[in-house]
Amino acid sequence: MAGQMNDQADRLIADLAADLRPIHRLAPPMWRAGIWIVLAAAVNTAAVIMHGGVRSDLMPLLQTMSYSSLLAATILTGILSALAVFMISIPGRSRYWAALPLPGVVLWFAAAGYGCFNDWVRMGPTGLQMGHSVDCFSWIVAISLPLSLVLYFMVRHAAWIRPGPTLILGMLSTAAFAATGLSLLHDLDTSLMIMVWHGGAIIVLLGLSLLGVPLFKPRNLSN
Amino acid sequence: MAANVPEQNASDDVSAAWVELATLLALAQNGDRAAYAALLQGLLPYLRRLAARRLSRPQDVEDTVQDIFLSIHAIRHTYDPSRPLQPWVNVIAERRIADRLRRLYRLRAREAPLPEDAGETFAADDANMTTEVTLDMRAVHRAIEQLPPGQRQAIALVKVQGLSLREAAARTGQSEGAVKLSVHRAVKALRNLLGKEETEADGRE
Repeated sequence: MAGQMNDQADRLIADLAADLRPIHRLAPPMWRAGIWIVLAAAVNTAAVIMHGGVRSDLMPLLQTMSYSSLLAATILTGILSALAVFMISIPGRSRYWAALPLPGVVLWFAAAGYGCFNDWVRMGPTGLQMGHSVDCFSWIVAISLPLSLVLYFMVRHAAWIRPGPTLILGMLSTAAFAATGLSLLHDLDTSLMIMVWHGGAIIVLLGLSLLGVPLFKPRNLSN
Repeated sequence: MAANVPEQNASDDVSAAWVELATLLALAQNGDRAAYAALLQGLLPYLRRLAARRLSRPQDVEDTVQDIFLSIHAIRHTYDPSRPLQPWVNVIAERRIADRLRRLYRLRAREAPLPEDAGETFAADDANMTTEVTLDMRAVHRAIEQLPPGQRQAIALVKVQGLSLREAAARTGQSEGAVKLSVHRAVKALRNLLGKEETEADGRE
């Protein structure tokens, strides 16, 4: 029995050694996170250019506490969760990195909640309805889709160790940067819509992966 | 040949072994096959010990170690030689051990262990029903044959063929009351006969 097991292990070791090819080591996670954050900024800039410039009332808005804090919160959340994604997707790095975006998220929820509350006070329940939905939604997709695809490609090795947290933090970062872009383009605070759609995407993807769709699962394992 | 990770030696030995293994992985990242084989051989006893802490069956331990090797192989580019190797290996190993445990729990939830008296009783209802019903029917037939002719005829018409009391009365030329009485007596007699048989069967065991 023991001999047979040693044979199995020896055979696998020989196979893996025979399969060995030189590989490129991953760059340090902070460096890679930086690349992705620059990419997020580039995608948002492209969106602004395609939109034909930022919203007309941006300058006065930046003077207001509610708008500037919301903008700062989305940028902070995007950056912190990007750093967290690239850290936790590497084996041997502490899983507590996953808590890094918390301050950003708290600030974002507070600012978005304050915005919703203001709308409600100003306009009554109709203030909470989502106007311009289709237009907003297409901008959300235009920003989120390329960002999330690139991120998936960059941290796909996390499938072997922490697929769930990587997915959630990756979507959080994408959502936050999409919210940053949208708040530069649109006269509505789209945080709620963005949170709903990205939260929905996380649930769908996690559900698929729990159902056994090999989206975030390593494929080569035995059984 | 690479040093294995010592089991419980002085911590200096352990960390020296890990440093050596880390060097081997760095070489393997550059394509050095001999270093890679030495690394995996060096990790083998450590990973077996780690897996055996959570898994009881030797085959599960071995399968898990192989899963860990495949994972290491797939994401060997994520190791940064400037950092310690052990935490890197541990995270991968923990994930594969957890996967294996989850798979085993799922299997266990679907499979029930065979009871000790499995030779006599089957969990499936059908298996029990067919045998017992057949045995009962044979005993009932035997008992019916022992009844007096009038009662035998009454029970055959009313309980076996399922005729109503009136139909049975017409068939035998008796009154309904007489048939009813015959059936009643026959059932009572059968109950006695079958009860006796069961007791005899119990006595034989």
